[in-house]
Amino acid sequence: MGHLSRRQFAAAAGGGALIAPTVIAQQTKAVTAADIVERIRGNVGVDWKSDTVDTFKAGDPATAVKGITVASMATMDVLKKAVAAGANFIITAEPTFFGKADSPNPAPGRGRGGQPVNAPPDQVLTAKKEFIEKNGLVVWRFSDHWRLRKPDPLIQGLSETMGWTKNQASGDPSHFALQAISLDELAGEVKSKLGIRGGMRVVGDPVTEIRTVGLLPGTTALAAALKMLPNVDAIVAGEVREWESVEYAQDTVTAGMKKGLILTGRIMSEEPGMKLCASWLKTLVPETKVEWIATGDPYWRPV
Amino acid sequence: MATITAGEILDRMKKNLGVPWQENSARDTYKAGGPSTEVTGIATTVMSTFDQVQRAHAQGLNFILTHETTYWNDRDIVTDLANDPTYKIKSEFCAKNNIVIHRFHDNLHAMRPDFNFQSLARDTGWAQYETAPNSRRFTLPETTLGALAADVAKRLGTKALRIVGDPNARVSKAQMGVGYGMPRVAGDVDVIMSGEAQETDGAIDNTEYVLDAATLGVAKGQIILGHCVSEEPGMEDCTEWLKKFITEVPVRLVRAGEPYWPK
Repeated sequence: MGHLSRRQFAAAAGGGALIAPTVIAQQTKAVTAADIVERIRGNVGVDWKSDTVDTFKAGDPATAVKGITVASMATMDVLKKAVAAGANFIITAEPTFFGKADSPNPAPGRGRGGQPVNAPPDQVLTAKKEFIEKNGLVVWRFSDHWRLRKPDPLIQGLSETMGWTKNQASGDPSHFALQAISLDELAGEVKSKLGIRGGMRVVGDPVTEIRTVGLLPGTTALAAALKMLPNVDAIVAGEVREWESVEYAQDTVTAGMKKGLILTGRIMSEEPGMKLCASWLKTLVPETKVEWIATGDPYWRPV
Repeated sequence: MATITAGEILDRMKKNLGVPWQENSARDTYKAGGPSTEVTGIATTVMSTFDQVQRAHAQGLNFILTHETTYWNDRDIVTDLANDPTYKIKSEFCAKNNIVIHRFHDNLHAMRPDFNFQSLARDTGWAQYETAPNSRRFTLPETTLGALAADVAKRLGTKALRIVGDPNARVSKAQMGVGYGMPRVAGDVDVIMSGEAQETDGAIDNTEYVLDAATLGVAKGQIILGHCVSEEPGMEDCTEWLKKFITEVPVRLVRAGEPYWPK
């Protein structure tokens, strides 16, 4: 009787004959995590790569999905909120186990202070794995292929959040025309609309007038800034390196060009694109609830 | 008045390095000018930004000894930059003003002590707590992550630093890196500090680790100073070292400074 809801039982009983619970179970067979990934692969619109980080990181793909949580990064905080919201399938853009390899035994970091080979199990890693197992969670990474979609969902999400979609400049989907605004005011708008706590950094003269903006969400190398900065007044980027795009933007300003570079941090630049991913999944997996959960700005700074 | 060329200065640096000079370093090469240029003065810096080069020139110093890049990529490869307006202006300024730029990165880090670690430990006030010479590990008087970060920010004069972790986490055991070398915050290390680090999707993502530690109530912290902020103190010591064996021309630290403003 455990598989029958009250209504199903009432309907079955009212019909004069009890239907075997197994039949009901088959009729309402829930979608599994593996089924959902199959649907994503079939609908994402890009060829699936053989070498990709978009794989299961934890849990059993055959698990029946009760609800989906989409996030930029499957942090402990996101996992707890997902469980509280009744979700058991987590789709994350960034790693879960503290590194690209998503290995249960992460490699030592650069510089000194690496973990000895025979070190005891790491308490943070162990606690996270146990939480995932205890709550029957399945974690799958969705990064490479989501970003390959056209138009770029990270740019689309970011421009929607900023309210710029109608201002798309002709020619390049990552460029936007704005009402004239100072670099400082623009930085303030980006900060408030993305909900950035304390990780934002800006290069350029705060009073520089900005009329065109280019978006570089995620992490980008010098080549992206070299291509974009000559054509816009300011770039809003996620993560760049200080000896690459930061120095390039500084030098461009010193050379007399009125430019700016606003750095949101990688996670905050990816949040709107993953929110958009949740909206897309709702159309793809109508059987189950899909919810985006904010990872939030990892950074703060002392006042 | 005695004269000296850029090449002669490099020769003296090699003799005084204390370890064999790595001739095959792809980083430590000329980025502007060459060995035969006569030097009017040396400007040391963490990064030869265009602004820094202009200020050095204004002081009559034409030899820039820089720890980091000049043309925005680790090997200073300029083949793709020929048509870039910023590259044209910066490179023409150097050529017109007889400026020599040489990088001093791999060989500086090979020295013992490494100036950058020594000076950052001194300027943060951490040096007295180092557990063993050159260990880069410190047992600090126990404090909160918030108080420690505020103290470091004040001492270094940095405004755009970023912190990860619970501000109230009690921390004492610290591991320090410089530049892009962020140590790992696991095991018995409470707090790590360095210049810059890949935010996620690397060999080890300290940021996610510290966020999760905070959620679990495990006391961990990460202090991200900024690349230049973390390594500029070392160039002060580098300047004093150069003065010991370069007496013909002035040797001065011309700071690149913090590239960002916080928002």
